[in-house]
Amino acid sequence: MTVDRDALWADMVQFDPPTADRVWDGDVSDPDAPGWYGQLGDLIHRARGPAETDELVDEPVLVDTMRRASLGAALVALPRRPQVRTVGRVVAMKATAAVTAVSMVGVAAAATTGIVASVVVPAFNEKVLPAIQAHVLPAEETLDPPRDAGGPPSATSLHPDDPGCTTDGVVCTAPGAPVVVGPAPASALTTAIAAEPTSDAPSTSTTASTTASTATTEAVSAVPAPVVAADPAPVDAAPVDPGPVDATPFVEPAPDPAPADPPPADPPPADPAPVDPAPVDPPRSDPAPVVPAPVDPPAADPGAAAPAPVDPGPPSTPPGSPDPGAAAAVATPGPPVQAAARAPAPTPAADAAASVPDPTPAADAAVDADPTPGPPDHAAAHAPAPAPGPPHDAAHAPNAATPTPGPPDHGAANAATPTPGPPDHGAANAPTPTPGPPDHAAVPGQPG
Amino acid sequence: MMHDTEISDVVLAAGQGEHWALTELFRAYQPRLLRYLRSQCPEAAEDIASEVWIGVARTIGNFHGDEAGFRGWLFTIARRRLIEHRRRMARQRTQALPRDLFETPSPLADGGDPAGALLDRVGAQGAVDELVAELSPEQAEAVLLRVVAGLPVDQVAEIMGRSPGSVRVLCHRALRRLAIQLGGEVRTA
Repeated sequence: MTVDRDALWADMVQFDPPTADRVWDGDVSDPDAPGWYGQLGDLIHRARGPAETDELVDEPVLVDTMRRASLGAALVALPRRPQVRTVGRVVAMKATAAVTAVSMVGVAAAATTGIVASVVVPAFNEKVLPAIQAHVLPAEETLDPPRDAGGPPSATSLHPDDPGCTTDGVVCTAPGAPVVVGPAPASALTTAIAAEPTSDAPSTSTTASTTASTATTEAVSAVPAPVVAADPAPVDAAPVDPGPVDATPFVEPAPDPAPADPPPADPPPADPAPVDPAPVDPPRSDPAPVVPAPVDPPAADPGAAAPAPVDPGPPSTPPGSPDPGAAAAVATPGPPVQAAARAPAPTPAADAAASVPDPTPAADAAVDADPTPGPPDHAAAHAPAPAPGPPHDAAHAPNAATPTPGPPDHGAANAATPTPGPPDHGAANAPTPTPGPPDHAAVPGQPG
Repeated sequence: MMHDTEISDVVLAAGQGEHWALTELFRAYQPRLLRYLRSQCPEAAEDIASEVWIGVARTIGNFHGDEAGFRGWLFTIARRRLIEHRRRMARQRTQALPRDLFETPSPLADGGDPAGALLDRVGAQGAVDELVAELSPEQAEAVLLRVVAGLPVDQVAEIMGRSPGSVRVLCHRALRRLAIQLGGEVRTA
């Protein structure tokens, strides 16, 4: 076995990297190099030779293309937003898919384990439903005792002293609170007017009658819902400008079917009419008498309440017969006074409409001060219906001015006609003759 | 070939689309690139070379390095384009005939000059073809990158995805085969 000398050289080159590099560069000048390496070196030099003509034939075209490519690449490299958008879309889709998968797994797990039926449903029944029942049913709240009596203040029964309540007490809305346009407000006003004063008569804003039975109030409160909803316009105006609003509604001359009907049934039909009256309003809305605040206190004064002669009483008009002169002045002693309720507070405007020459607070005082007990004042019951908001009260006020065939409101009659008569039963219902903020609803002849 | 001092300026100007810089680069490296591609894929060497230069022009703004680095970058692109071309051809299942059969008649067929044919054979591409004629594809590629591209072993190993020792072995075996091809007697036990 022999090893050729050239083979030995080749193997040595392998283990000598610098020599190997020189071999492949064609720079080996080793005298011991084999003869064939000369030919290899020649090939290497030729392979590295200068450019030939055919190799640069495409130069013009390729260089132009390269130039456009380089410029285009610079322009294209700038905006990368499409890629970002694409990534964002992909991420959003993946997140959505993950959420969906997790939620589905959760639902499936809950359904499988029965946790919904065993835990969720009982918890809902125990905690959520009571809360809903407690807050969703406003009628129940309206029946709550007044705040003075210890009951929690609610939006439905605002105290006259609370901010947002008008001075006359007819309109009570919390400041900044949304305008009431639903059944709840109507019932609230009902409560304020009818059920209020048992324990705190003087401070109560509304009517007057302690006797306004709860049952009557409930009946009325149940009815008014549609009425309130039907008349949104006045509701909106009330909170903005309470004063004029009060006066405006009283002017309403629309016929009130209520008087003929028993108290509870009346309200719904009566409401829509009062809302409309544009033409009648202006005269009734006389601003002068509307400003009741300062005048009221004296009216509530028991001393001033004396004026019995102010109350026309039944003799002036036969029972059941409308008083042509004064709309609300049907003075029939028998049935409960509805006119007073309808005119919940026959505000001074009502008086003016009735052309009462004597706007003195005496009449009002007389009404309030009349301590004589009497049948429950249906007026209070009727009041709630129109009461959904201040405007409604005002709307019903006109009823007092308009001739109502139903039972006469002695108070209203007194206001409308100076003729002496029996005391106003509606006013008699007033729980306490003690001085306090005038009850506009019950006082038709309150002076401006 | 360029020096390291001028390659940076040329590359910078080429990145801004300067015509002269692109021309300089093309003239300096196109011959060796084309020889390498013709040796590996004669039927599509020019097309692949065009793709390589367009790719260089698009991304030359991101290149930073010396002349050897630019050479290695250029031949890396060329090798990838070559591989892509081979994959395309494999999918198409078509075999292009050598262009010489249609365009280049035999120099001696119609009474041509035998000297011209000889010169073609001794030309640069002839030398490259003769150099790798008897080598395996891997050996041929290593020798081409080592000789034609003028790249060191480490860079060749990087382009080919091999270790430097593997490249040295490939080159050694190619050398022994060339010795036999060129008439040497390399006998082993």
